[in-house]
Amino acid sequence: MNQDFVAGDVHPSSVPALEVTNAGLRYGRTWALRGCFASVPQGRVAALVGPNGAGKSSLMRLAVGLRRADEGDVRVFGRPPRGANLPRVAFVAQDKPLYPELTVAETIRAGAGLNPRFDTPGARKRLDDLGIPQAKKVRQLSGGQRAQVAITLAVAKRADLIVLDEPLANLDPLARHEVMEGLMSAVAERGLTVLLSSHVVAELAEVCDHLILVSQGRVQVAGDIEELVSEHRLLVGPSGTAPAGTYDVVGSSETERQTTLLARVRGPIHDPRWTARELSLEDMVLGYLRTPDAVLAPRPVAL
Amino acid sequence: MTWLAIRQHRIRMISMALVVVLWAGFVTAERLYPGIRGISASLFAYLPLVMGVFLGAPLLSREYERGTHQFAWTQSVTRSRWLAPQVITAAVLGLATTGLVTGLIWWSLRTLPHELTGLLPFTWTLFAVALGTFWSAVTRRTTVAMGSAFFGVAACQLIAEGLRNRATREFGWAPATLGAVEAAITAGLAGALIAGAWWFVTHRDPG
Repeated sequence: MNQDFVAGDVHPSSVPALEVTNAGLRYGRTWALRGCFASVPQGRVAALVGPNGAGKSSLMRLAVGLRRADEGDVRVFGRPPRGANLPRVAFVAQDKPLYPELTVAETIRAGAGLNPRFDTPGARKRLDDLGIPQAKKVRQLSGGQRAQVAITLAVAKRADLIVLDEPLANLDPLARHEVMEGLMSAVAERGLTVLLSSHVVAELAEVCDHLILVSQGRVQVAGDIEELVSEHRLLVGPSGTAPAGTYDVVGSSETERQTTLLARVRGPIHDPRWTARELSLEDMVLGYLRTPDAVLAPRPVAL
Repeated sequence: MTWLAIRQHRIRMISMALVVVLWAGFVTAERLYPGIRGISASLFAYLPLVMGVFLGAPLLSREYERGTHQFAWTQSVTRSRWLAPQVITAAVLGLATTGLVTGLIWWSLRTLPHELTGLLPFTWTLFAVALGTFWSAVTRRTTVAMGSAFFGVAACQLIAEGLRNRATREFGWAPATLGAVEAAITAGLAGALIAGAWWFVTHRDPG
C-alpha cells in the first residue's frame, strides 16, 4: 500500500480512513451538522454528495481538522485529525486558496517547507506535464490552472487521505477531465483514500466506489456504491396497499392508481401485485434528494 | 515554514525600508535646517502606531480574509508551529526598523529623549506588533484590526504618558527606574497579547 510508512505510524488496514461517529458541528446557535455517521474504508474513492448548504463543507472541515466537532467524534486512521496526524490528511478547500502573490514555484517551495514528506520533483513534473508555467504568479493563473496547482500540492504532500471540496466546480469540461484524470492516476500510484464532494452525482459516478449522501446537516445514507444500488429498489404497486417484505422506505409518491416507493430492501418482496425495479445510482441519489428527511445511515446499536 | 513567513513579509519589509528612508529624510532636514532640530525624535511617537497597524494587524486577518488559513493549517505542521515564525518575522522586522530609526535619531541629535532610551523603543514596538496581532486574531478582519490597533496603541501611549508624569511627581522616580519599569510592563503586555492571539488561533476554529 503506502511505502511512506513512518515507524510508530503503523495502522492496520482495517482501521477506516475516516470515521465519523454521531458528529455535530455548530455555527453559533445553528447546527450545521448533527448526528452524522459515516465511515470510509482505506483505499476507497468516496463521493460526498448533497444539495448546496447540506453540510458537505462542514463535514470536510471536521475531517481535516479545521474545525473540532462540537459533539461526537471524528477520526482519521483511528486518531483525531490534529497534531501528529496532520501529515496523513491533505485538503483542497472549495475556493482553492493559495497565496496569490507567490509564484507557482514559490508555492511548491512553501509546500515543501510545511510538509516533511513533500514530493517536490513529483509536483514540478506534474505541473510541467499540465503545461502550467511555474514562473507565473498564482493570481495570474486561470481557475482551472489554480485548481490543478492546489490539487498538485495536496497530492505531493503524500498524505494517506486526500479531501477535496468541490474540486470540479467552476471548471470547464476539459479541465474537469484533466483534474479527475490527474487525481485518479495519483490514487492508483499511491493507493490513497479520497473523499471528494459535489452536488452533481453524475461527474463522480465513474470514479467513486463509495458514497456519503448528506442532507440538512445529516448523513442520509453511506456505503459502498454497488451495494447501495443493489439494495435499493423502486417498488410499484396498487395504491392504498403496502408490499410484504422487509424494507425501509426512503420516499413515496402516489397517483390515483398506483403507489411508487423508493426503498432499501433487506429481503425479497413477496407480493404479486408489486413489482420491484432496479435503480441507477443517479435515480437512487435523486430519490434521497427529493426526501431530505429520510435518514437510513447505519447507527450503532447502543444508541 | 520560516521561508514562507519571510516571503509573506516581503511587502511589509519594503514598507519598513520606506519608513527608515523617511526618517533618514527627517534627519537630513534637521542637519540642513537646525531650526527644526528635534523633529525626528518628536515624530518617533508615531512609529509604534505604524508597527501595530502594518506589521501586527494584517498578520492573521489576511489569512482569514483570503481563506489561505485553510491551506496553511492543513499542511503537516500544527497551527502553533505555523504561527511562531510569522510572529517572530513581524517582531524582528519591527525591531530592526526601530533600531535603524533610533540610530538615525541618535546620530542627528547626539542625545535621546526619555521614550527613546534603553530598551523602551524596542519594547513599545513589540507591544504594538503584539496588540495588532491580537486584534488580528480576534476580529479576523484587516481593516477592523488596523483600526483597533491604531486606537489601542494611541490610547496606551496616552495612558503611559499620564502614568509616567504621575510616577515622577508623586513617587519621585528617577528616569532610569521609570524607563526600566515601563519597558518591563510593555514587554510583559506584548507577551500576554501574543499568548492571547495564539490561544485564539489554536482554540477558536474559524467558520
